[in-house]
Amino acid sequence: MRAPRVVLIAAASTSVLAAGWVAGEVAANDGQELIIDAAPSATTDTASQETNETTAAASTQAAESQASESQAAETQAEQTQPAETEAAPSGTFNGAVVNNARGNFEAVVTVDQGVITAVDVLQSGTSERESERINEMAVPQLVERVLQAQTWDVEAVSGASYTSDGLRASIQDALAQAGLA
Amino acid sequence: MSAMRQLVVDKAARADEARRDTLVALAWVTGSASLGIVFASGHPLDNVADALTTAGRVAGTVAATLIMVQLILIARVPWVERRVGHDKATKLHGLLGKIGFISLVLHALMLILGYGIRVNVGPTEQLWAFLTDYGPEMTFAVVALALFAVVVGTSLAAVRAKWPYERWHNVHLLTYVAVLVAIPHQIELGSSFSHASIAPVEPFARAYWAVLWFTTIALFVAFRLIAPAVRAYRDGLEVVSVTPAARGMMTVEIAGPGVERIKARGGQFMLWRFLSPGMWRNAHPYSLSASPKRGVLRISVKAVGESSAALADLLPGTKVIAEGPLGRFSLDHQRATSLVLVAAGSGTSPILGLLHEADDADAITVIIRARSEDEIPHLDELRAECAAKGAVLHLMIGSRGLGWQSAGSSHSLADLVPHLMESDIFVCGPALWSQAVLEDALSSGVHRDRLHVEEFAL
Repeated sequence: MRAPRVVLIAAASTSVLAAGWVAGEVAANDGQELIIDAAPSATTDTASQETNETTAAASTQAAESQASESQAAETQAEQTQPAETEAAPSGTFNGAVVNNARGNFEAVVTVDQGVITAVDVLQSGTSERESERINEMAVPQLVERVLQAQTWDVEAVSGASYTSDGLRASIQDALAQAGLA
Repeated sequence: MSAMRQLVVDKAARADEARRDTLVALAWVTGSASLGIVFASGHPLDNVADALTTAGRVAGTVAATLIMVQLILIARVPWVERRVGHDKATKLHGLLGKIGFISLVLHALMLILGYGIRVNVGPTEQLWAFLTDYGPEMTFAVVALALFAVVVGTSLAAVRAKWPYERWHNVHLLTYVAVLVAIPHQIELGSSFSHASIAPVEPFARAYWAVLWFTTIALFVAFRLIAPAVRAYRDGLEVVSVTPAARGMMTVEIAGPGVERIKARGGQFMLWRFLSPGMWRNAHPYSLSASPKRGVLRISVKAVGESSAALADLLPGTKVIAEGPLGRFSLDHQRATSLVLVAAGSGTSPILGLLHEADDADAITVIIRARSEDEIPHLDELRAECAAKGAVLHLMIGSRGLGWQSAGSSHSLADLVPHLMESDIFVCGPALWSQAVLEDALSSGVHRDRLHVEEFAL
């Protein structure tokens, strides 16, 4: 084929590939939106709620077994942080529903005197088979990391970038409401 | 006169080239669009598991695109046939098949590793999970991969050398099963062309992928299955006579009402399926040794293998299905104003066909290489036609030499053909011999565009 045509075809193909790549970037980075402001879980779709209840139950159990250990560590930490004595928040804080390329993510954080004691995941991704598989593995891992590190800003779970991003953002919102982030 | 003709030939050649380039462009841009959609539905690369999964998705889409191109290449769509030609399509088929299979293996490997790392499971366990635990679509996909492996494995030179052609071909047909059975997993699972694709891209992505597969399969079914069957029914072709000649040569004449519609150009071939007990399973390419006229098609074949030898036993009245005409070995693709026709033995058949139609050429030289004169089919006809057209005929008779010429002769094409640089050169004969002729031409400075070869690679 003549050179000009080769160049033309190469240019067209590259443009199409680049357009797709950029669209994927946008989906990953800007795509996260907080779509509903701290509404109770009644807004979630029952189907996805059922599929997520098992994961939520699992995460609560994991949280409880961690709580006793982390509480002992926390009382020590509290004494070295005089600034915190003013308000050690307690309560349940409903993180905003975060939407990204792989679905909606919503977490509820339970805080006891400034210590994150539980994270319940109400929504994570979609009811697609692939999404459910990722949730089975990734959600408990992410929750464990948050409880260990006592912050929303933990490392993403390998193989679950979107899930990690979505849940972290929702947890961050909940902690902000609690005055902890 | 010659300059005018060159202009006409040039214009036709440019149009031919433009149409072929359009096909190539279409293939590349469509493939890129498919990959673009894969990227658009997310390309996380920041951790190992996600990076492997993204790479695996890309490899899978590349494999699928190559398979679609291959299917269209062998579908015998007339438009594609005329641009690419049967020989080139067959060679491309082999190349794309190798690259496609490697992509497929990488696709499977990277996804097994990526998914495995995600859920903390070893590769064998993950492969087993894909086979048993991800739904029927995934089970089929794993089976499809196994079938492809069998097809590719049996196409290795070592196996093909030992197996009879028919057995190899039947195993090769498993490819169709593999392709069909793998389609559901592309649409139901994964994250590019399924429900899991991201919202803005999703409905478009699924529709796009569905259209691609539908078009590919529709073209294949229409031109490879339905059209030949319909034509076969309407053509009503039958063997009229089988005339043996010396040294295993045979001339078979076929006639029927359908001959009128076969607008074969001299030099082209057809795929013949003789509906007799031993021969109906396979179709074989044989060139027409004369243009269809008086309702008769003529092929001249030398018995070299099982199937060509079986032609000798054909009874008149045997029904025949003829597909085609095929091949770019015709004056439609000439670039110059004079002709050089070079053939060895039974390669004379298409050359004779070309000669019959060469009414406009400025000068014609015909060169035939054979061990003896009776190896040349229709020699009398050839001589008469050369005389009628004022063509110079060189017969190179004798035992094989070191080059393409007979032993003891070392004339190059340039020596024999004064008009070499103003000619199209058509060559038909065994592969290695043809190669020698082409190299001779190239070393004399003939441009590649003017070389035309006919090989019956299957």
